[in-house]
Amino acid sequence: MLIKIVLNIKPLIAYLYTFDAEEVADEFRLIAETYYKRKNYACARNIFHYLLTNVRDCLVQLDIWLKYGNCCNYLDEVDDAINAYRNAVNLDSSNCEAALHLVNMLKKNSQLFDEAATVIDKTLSQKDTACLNTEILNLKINQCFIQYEKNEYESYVRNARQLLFNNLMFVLEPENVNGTL
Amino acid sequence: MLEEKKDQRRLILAKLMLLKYVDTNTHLDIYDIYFNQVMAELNNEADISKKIYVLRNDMKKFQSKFAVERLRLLIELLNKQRQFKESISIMMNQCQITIAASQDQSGQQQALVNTPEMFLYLNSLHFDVPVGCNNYIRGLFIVSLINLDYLNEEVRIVFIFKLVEIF
Repeated sequence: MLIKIVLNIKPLIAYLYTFDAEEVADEFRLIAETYYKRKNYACARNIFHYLLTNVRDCLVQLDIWLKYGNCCNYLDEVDDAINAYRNAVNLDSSNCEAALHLVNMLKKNSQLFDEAATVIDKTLSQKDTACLNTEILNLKINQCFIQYEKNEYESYVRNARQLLFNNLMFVLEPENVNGTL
Repeated sequence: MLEEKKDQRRLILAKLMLLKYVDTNTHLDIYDIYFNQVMAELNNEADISKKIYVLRNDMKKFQSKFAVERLRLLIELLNKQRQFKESISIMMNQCQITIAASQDQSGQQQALVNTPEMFLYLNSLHFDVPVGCNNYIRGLFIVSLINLDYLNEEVRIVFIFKLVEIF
């Protein structure tokens, strides 16, 4: 029934829906990525969602979950964005980008602070703290923020001091801190 | 001789000339050997234009028998260089993609063909991609259109997903 209706309105992409999704996953992904690059998040979200619900291989691709989450985030679909980022983190808990996206969403809701703290701890525990990058530093800043909000002042002071002493130049840049908080 | 002298730049140019002038009816094997060699050697980002040149030449030589995988590569390279109009024209010619009749502002039916002018009123056009067209090429065609701000597809995608949600 759906195929019949879709064929009647004849958009170019409709023909691809007549195939098994697994068979035309590359084509759909190509189109979704194009919409994503052009910041058309509504179209990109729809196609990523179609891929994630119909193509088994896509379920284990962190990149797709992240982009789908970003689309939902831009479209203010907070719950879907959080779930997408959760899936991305579950696929690779050492991935800082995925963790940072999830934490940035979770910290908007004080009831989710515990989950955010767990995600940060789990990710940072798998990282070599000697090799810092922007994402690790942002996770550390978020860690301090959450500890402060949760009144865990002892941990907050210890981590904030470490952050300030070791990475003063990064923390001094207002855009680094404001962007994170 | 150039190979011995390790004069890579001239060697590539010589191979490009060879690919251009060799008769594929009588020396297809030689053409294929050098085609594969040149494509393998042109690996840098700066070589994209040369690769496009080789593939365009290949398309001219083989016309309707131009291999799908080479067409796919040509379109991907053209899109990488943001030459979307050219990639659309090539796909329309190679895959017999046609333009369905459209109405102009006065409501009259226009007969449209694959010309550079069609890009002036791209959003009033509807394209018919033949059923037998390779799916990946269809995907690339849609990608090129999206990059030229073709809105028809977007409106319909939104409509399709509304239907998907209903059913």
